[in-house]
Amino acid sequence: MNFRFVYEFGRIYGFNTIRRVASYIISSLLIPLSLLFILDIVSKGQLLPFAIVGGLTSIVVSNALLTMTDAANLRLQWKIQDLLAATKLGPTSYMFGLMLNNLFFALPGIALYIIIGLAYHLFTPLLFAAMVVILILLYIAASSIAFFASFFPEHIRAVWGYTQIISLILGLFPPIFYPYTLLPKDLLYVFLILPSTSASILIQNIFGLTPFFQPALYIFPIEVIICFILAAKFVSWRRK
Amino acid sequence: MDVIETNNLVKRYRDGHLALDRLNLRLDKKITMILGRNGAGKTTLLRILSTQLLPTSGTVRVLGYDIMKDVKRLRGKIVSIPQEVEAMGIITPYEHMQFYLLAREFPKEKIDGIITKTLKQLGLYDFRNKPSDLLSGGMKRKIFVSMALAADAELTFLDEPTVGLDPISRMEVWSAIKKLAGKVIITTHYMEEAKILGEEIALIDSGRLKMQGSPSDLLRSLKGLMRVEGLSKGKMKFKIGGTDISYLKSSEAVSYADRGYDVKQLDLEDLFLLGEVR
Repeated sequence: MNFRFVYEFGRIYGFNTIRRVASYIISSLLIPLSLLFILDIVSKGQLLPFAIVGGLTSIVVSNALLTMTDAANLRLQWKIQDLLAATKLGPTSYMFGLMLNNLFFALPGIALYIIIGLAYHLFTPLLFAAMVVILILLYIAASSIAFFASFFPEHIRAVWGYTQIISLILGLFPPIFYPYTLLPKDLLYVFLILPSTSASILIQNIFGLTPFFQPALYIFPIEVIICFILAAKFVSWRRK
Repeated sequence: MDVIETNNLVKRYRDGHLALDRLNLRLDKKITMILGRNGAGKTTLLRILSTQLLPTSGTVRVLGYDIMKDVKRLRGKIVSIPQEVEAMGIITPYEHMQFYLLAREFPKEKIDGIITKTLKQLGLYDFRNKPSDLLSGGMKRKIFVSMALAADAELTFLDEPTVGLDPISRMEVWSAIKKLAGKVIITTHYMEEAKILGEEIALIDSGRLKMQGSPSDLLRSLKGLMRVEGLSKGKMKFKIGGTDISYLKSSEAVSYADRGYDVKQLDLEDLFLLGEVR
């Protein structure tokens, strides 16, 4: 792994872009604030804790999925991947660079949610640390899925369709903004194949919002490893 | 040892298109130009040689390394600038260079000096901190040529490096490329470029090697022929954009000059047409 490249790729392509185009900060804050607002109004404040932890999860997933459009754009439109293919850099360093880049875009939203969570006394240091670990692992898993999926479309416009589908599957259906207990048991087990489901359940569990669900604890790390291996080993870095 | 060695190299794309058809090529340490018309297979060849694309069959050795078995070692020794590579919008030329040199594992403390020197050489230094979106097409292209120069690899592949450049920028790039003498392979369809830079020319057509040699060797192979425009005669005749062109022996061609036909000495440009029939 070329750690210096990962850092510089994230800094140059992510941080510097945000620095130059301030509207990214506003747009990154608008979506979480809107979700928080809607959920708070609809549930009359009842689901606010879900809105806060769900909002954090949602930001992590949606920004991780941006890796797909970025990677596809760099491969299909700008041909930057072709440029890098003839270097010692492998897909793993490249993927982590893209992940760090998109993390910069997520940071304003994450910071906002953390401030709101602290204001509502939702976080203790231990719970917060546990949540951060889960979210980092979820970010790696979702980015890996996005990176892997980015290698299938042959045309840049096809990428948008794929991204919508994956966003829906990973970001909307799983119990991110609602208690997992509302899901029928059969459906819950089906949804468990998605890392965002097991991560959301674990986060709800550690904040005491829902009863402890042990399978999620075992399944989640396995999902992260499988997603990562899929992206690091099975992408065709060299074109066919 | 040949720098490039291909044996029966075949590339058939998934849509069935045959881009390289049992290509056998040997190149040694010179500025080598791979010449050919659009769709001749130049870019496909370069992408296979620079480990960006998998061949369908055949064997390829670059700098003595097998492109399938020794790919990791080979990638540390080559640079490839694809024809269609584009600058990343909001990122500056300086950042592009940083990004690329770090990918090539250059030590961070040396990068600034190398970038400054290269950008100055190609007339980009004054624009180093400008988002590349705001640069002209030619300047964007020069960012990537700068990357190749700065990387100073054992072997550099440049795919159509001067497309879209104005004459002055083109000369700047040529001057820079000359510094890579002995370790650069360039594809082009600009004859002027081939004449100025090419110590060795390989002419490819329909995925096969048609001719190879120094520019003077290739011109010598055309000795005794002349081009007659507006005439359709003999075996070597073509119709280009509605104009008939025939290649005739000089003695015969001269007689057509007396009859008002446009008769010309052959140049490397004629290789494109003659390459098809040879």
